[in-house]
Amino acid sequence: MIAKRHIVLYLMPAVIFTLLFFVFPLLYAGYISLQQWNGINEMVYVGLDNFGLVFHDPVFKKAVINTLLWICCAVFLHIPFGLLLALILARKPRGWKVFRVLFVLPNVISTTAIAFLWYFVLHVNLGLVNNLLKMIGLDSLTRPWLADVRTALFAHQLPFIIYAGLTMVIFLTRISAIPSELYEAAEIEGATNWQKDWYITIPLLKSAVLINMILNLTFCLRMFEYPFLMTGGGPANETVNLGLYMFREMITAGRYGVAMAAGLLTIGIGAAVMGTILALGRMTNRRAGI
Amino acid sequence: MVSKESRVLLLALIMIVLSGCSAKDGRETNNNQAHDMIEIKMLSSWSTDTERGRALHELVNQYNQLRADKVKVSIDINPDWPTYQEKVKTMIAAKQPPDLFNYNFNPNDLSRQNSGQLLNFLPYMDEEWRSRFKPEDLAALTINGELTSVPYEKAGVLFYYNKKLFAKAGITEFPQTWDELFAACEKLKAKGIIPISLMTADDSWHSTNALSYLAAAASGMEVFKVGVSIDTPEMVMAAERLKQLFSYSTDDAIGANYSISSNNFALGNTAMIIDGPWLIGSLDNELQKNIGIAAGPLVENGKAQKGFIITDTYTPWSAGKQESKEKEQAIVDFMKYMTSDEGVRLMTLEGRILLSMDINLGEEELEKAGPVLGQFISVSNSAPESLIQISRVLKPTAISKLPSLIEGMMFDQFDPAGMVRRLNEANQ
Repeated sequence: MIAKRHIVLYLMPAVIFTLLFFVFPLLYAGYISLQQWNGINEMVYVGLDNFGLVFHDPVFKKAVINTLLWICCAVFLHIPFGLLLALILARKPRGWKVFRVLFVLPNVISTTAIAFLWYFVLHVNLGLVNNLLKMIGLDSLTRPWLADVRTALFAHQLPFIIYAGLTMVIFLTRISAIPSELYEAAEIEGATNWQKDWYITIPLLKSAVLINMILNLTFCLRMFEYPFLMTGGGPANETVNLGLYMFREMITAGRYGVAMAAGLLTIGIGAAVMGTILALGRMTNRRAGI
Repeated sequence: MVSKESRVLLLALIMIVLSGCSAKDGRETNNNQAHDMIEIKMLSSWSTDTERGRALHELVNQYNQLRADKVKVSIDINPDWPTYQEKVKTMIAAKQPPDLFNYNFNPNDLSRQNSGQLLNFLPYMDEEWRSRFKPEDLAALTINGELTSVPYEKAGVLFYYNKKLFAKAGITEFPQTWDELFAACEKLKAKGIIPISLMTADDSWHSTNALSYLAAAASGMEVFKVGVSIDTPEMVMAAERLKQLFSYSTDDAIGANYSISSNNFALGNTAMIIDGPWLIGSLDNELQKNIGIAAGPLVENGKAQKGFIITDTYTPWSAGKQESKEKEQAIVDFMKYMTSDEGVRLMTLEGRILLSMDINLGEEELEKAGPVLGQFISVSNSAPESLIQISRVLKPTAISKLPSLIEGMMFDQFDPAGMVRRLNEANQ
């Protein structure tokens, strides 16, 4: 049996680092959120004014909606796409290993580089997309993808799809752990590939779905590079998200208190969404009797 | 009982954690080490791949040679201006201000001056040094009786126009009024030439330059005065005309950043742009031969005088307060060298930046400066009045909202009057 003192000792590094790098900054952010501060001069206590200001700011509402749309994009597009790739590669078609590497590769490339790359892919004059459309005679479809209020949000989320490789790998790992007897039995019963995926593979991937949801959720909540580099939050705040909102309030507007209030609300929103996902996961497990 | 190994492990862990939290800065160590040589660290955003960056390096090298074994100035380059400014703010907030740094002066944001961390140059401002500056520049930067910023860069933001493209459209001279300018835009457009480079990303620099010119032409040089409402009919008219001007710009104007917008002009894709002298370095020699420089057009019944210009704000140099009197004097000595006739001549001719200090250039020097800089200096010097650009004088909150407000107006989310009203509210 492990002695109590050893448990304390082993936990201490984690506790110290959590206190130093999470709890202390969180408390300090809470303190600053109650102050009017420009980052240099004396702080002035303003109570909950900064929260009031944030709640009444239409740009903050837009940022919350856009952040939630990022999360929806992850849950309803990104994860299903990763699953689709995993289901295809799990059948080990020719060259599957090469494709697996290719799909995972973007995860080791900086998001900044990818954001810039896509900025030029979608550029109105120089961009590959518009030039391809022109080449095939679809000139009427060309547009400033990142500068049009109707397309900017979707267009600047496009690069996210190439990060589906990590999601795919998590699904693949789980698929490889499914006992082959289940598929053999299904084959004997005459099940098609589609039926095997639908009735065997996908139901057994629930834990992987949960992991992917959590990972993608955190990615979306701290998303900053794409809106910052590709659109700057524009046009007309159409692509601003919570990360960019905080940055602007702090760096451009010099309102540290407002930025911290927005930061705390972001943590709250993140915790609420994460809690919902975990609760749904637990509920599903309970129903399944796990 | 905790074993000896465990105690050692715990102690080591605490040491590692605390070592990262040390509040001791390098300054004290540097001061102790350098008893003989005074080291001054200068923060700058001018990287050596720019003309101004190379000129600054040359100036610093010359000074270091002059004060060999006594003072050494080194440049710490932070090419990204917002990050650099944030670093300065953090250093001031931590009561460890940089030895030397520059920033955009904004009369609506005196946080640096009010920090009490900056060196007051006034006691060192002898008659000889004072005579280097314009009295109004010194007055503008003297806050609460202290001169914590030495006037340095204050460049005009002027109209660049491509004479070759103008000639193609049958325009022989730069328009004198905004009505004429819009008529010229029509002529250029008819010839398939895009009239003007505009942008809305980042600080919407080229677009807010146009807005500043339009507002100043109608309301005069007091239009952005601190404490005065900007929600005026003249401002609304300026916003309306800015919206109209966008119809004469490139497809990528909305969402374009500075490099895209300026490249459109530098590549000969647009006929006009409103920018500072730093653009000259981006124009190739062939294009420079066809570039004309002009002051702001007027409007009917407007309050601006013919030849008025918009300028960038002051970008002065400030220094952190020093514990050592010797170092303080060395910083002042270096600033005097920077603002001396020799230093100003080097930065103007080699660095192509226009400074607050007076400089008399001979014809030969103007010719050596190139066809564009010579015109730039001439138009700037002959301007009867000037106004600082809107993005440099509003409150930081309004400045941060201005680009998205221009975009909102362009997408008809609100009309020009709504845009001006929102901007004024953010500026309260």
